[in-house]
Amino acid sequence: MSADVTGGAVPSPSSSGWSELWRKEDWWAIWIGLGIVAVAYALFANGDSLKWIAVTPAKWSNFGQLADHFSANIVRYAAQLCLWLVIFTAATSVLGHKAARFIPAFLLLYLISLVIFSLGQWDQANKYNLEPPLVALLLGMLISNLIGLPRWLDAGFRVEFYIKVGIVLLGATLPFTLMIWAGPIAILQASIVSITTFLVIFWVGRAMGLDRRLCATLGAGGAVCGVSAAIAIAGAVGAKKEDAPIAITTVILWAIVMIFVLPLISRALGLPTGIAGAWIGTSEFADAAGLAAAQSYGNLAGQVPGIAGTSDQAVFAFTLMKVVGRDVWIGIWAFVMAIIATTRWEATAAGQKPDVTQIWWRFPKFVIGFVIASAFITWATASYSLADYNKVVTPVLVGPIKDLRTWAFIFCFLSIGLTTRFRELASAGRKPFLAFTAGVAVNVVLGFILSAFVFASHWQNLTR
Amino acid sequence: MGWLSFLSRAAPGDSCGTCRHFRNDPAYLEKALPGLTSFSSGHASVRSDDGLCAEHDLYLSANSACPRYAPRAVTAGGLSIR
Repeated sequence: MSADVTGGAVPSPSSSGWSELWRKEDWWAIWIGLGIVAVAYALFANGDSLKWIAVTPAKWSNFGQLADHFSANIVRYAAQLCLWLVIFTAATSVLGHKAARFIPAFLLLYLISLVIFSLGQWDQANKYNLEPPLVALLLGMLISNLIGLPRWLDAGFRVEFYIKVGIVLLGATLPFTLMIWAGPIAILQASIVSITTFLVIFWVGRAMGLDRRLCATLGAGGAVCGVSAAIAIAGAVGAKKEDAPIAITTVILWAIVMIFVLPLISRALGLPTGIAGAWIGTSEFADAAGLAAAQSYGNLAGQVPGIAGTSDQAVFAFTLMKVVGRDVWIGIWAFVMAIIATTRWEATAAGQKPDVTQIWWRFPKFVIGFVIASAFITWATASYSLADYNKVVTPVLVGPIKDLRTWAFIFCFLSIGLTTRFRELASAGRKPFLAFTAGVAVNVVLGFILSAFVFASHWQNLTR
Repeated sequence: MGWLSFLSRAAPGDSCGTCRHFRNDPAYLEKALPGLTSFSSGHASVRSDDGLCAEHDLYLSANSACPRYAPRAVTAGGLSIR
């Protein structure tokens, strides 16, 4: 990077691909996630555990119990806060955020997350639907839209960074064999829905007279991985400056609606958690939004009568469907769309030659960390019987990683709310919104049919 | 390390990546694209090095090119002048 004398940093013309390793947050998520997994395993191998620092609020039924928990564990929470602060501040500083802004913002984020996490551990929380992901999201949106926070605090509200760290940690808790077993079905189901959704949005948009590049940007947002896909395709096809913000607004609105609607319908229908997770993975538009929905529904298992399965089934099915089935293909989508845009569509003022290496450059690299974490822990614990795994490995090795993952997800869900300021979003316009909505309708119905009927036994038996 | 040459992503000299009309700094894009940070990020891999062209009002790849290309001047101190 070289400094731009007019104010903003601009990339150096000689920037090499190797700089991606510290210039992109995907790689930082890998370094942090795999670093935590490596330390956890090293401690486990030496008869110790990461458990002490991976502290979480305990179940409570009155304030006295909660106060006792915090007074007994205050040093552990302080140590955990320091750990997060050190690793996140280091990463975001290299990415270009000022530590003087990140640190106070993260302190606020941690404090509110602690309150939300504690609320979720109340033994009456389910009765009042106080699921931490939904509470974090709603509280964040209330604060950002009604009260308002200084804009500079956004330095600490890094939705994508926290979700990527959480997904790499999630890899360590997901058996690699499960990924191999369920991955192909996830890819098949996701491909059917993604291609159908894209074509519906594209054709409805074209029928309403929208520009091809805007239709492609909207279509990718609905079909692949939400906002990230929309900007990737906008860049690949050379969209107009206003196209990406239109797609971003549309995706955000529908993604937030779906966070609440998909678990609500799943609950009304009494869907098993594995099926609901697969459906959410097929029909949500963003990783962070989908995980909020899948985790909040998964938490109902064992708490609400009629909901079969486990919390892990919802989260695993969602992750396999969304990350393995949809996210990893964005580079290929971008490459194919670049070919179509340059060879079949009207030329724009600036053109490009489709570049096959874009498949790699646009690949969501955090998935590499997710797969490595899964493969490593599966290999490292392969010699344990199932009984020993549950008795020894889970509480000492996998459990603490899962607890840190839960923290990362709460940081993410709260950050979604804190950064979603509705009045600042670009106006989407009626036609783009309707075109996207047509895709949503098809996506949700098709995703439900495939998850709850065609591949139902596959998703219902996940992890069994 | 010839077999790693595919990792070199230096854009051609006359492409948008080196043009003074092109802006792809993550912080700039996060301000220019409202809502980007709610479910994505300027630092995400999927964005590659795409950016905004102030000349044509397009969001495009750093490898794009056009006849209005204007190279960024670089001072002796290494500062790019836009």
